[in-house]
Amino acid sequence: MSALPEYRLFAGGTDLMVRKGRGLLPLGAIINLLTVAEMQGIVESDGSLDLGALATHAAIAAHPGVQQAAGALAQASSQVGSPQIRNMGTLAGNMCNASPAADTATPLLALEAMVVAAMMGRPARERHIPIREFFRGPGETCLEPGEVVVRVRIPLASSTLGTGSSFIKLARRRSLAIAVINGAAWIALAGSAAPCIAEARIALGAVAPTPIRLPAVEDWLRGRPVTKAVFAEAGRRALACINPINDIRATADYRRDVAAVLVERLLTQAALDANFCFEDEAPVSPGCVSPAQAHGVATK
Amino acid sequence: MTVNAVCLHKRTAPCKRPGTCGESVHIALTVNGHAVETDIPVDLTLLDFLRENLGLTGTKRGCGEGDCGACTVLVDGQGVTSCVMLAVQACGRDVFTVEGLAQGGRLHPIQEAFLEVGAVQCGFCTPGMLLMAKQLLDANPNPTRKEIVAQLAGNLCRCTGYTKIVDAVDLAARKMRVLS
Repeated sequence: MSALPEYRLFAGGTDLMVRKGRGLLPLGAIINLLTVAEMQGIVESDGSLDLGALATHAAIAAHPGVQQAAGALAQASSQVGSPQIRNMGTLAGNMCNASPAADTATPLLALEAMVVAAMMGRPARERHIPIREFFRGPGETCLEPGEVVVRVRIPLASSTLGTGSSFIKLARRRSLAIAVINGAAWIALAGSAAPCIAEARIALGAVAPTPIRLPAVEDWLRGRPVTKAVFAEAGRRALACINPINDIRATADYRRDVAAVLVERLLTQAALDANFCFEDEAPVSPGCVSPAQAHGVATK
Repeated sequence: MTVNAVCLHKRTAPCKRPGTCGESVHIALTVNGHAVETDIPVDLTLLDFLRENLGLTGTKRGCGEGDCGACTVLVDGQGVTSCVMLAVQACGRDVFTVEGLAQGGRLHPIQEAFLEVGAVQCGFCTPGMLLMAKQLLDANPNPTRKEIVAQLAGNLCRCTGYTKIVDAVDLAARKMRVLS
């Protein structure tokens, strides 16, 4: 390893090849990860969902276990790039490229994923990194030289709680567009007569140097009733947590304006995904809203 | 965990061990059903390998960054943009290009449908469109219009406005259902 100068770990290649083509990548050596068996596949085990680092976006989006237990991630994976990019690009590649706008980053944050990394050549020494500690800056992660993401573990909520998740991407086009802003939410409801928010997690992308969680808003939401007014106030409070910039995709002011709306919609859709019925709305179908319908709303 | 390192540094003498250091690397794969085995530079894209080394120029180079879909081929049945894929990544896999569609002098039903509907104008995007249509119809013989549009979302056409392309894939689906 150390004998190789300027090496790059190479998985789907969809980011590295573009930078190579533009002459931005001093490619001394590449290490092709695609053939590493231990990094493939999606496995459901007791209490968690293990996604191989090399699982493609297409495979994740189509996986029934992911759709059911981690809807926000399935939706985000189905909106990365284009069908071709989703057939090539990998989950760990999207994470390790560490774009502040990476589509899979916000669902992983909202679902509190655990990143499992190993030192190349010493696979027995695995390190478990909470996703909140993984992103350090644009293009920068907490991985050490020689360290590689092996898989990503998503904890599954206990079935006694009503839980749901959501993902929304706002971009200038429907395909092949980097997000102007994106986000994911996860919600756990408690109490059947008058449900309140037991726990809420909100993550936003393209509003700070890394994808971020909004702990101040999450703390404020705990114990509050599930109403649209509460979610709208959460959206307003989100503005204190973000620090967007002007770039070619949007202005900072525009991102601030839509961030409030995005947070409100994310929470609403996560609640719908948790089978919550808002009183001022007629149920869309028996048992309120099916995940498919909630997802249909999410993509608009 | 075994990793297979490929070194891109120019060396005076290429390394003899396949798949490791050196400026050329040995690959074996199938292209349109034919076994191909050869030495290639490790940083050669799959697109350049198909066009320059094999002469399969039906696969087009558009943007060169995976954004336009003109270079789409199928690898193990899945559509990929071959301009952002290294040829070594296709090693041991099954590559299918537009040249593989027609069999025994007969056009593939998808090609027939594109002709009948008039879904081809300049034709530069057509090979990519045909292959993404094939991936869809091989898995889903009866797609909705929405599913067809979603499948072609990574393929740009600057002539047709897409309507006739979607019509053609819809017609191809009907043709293929009759044949099967």
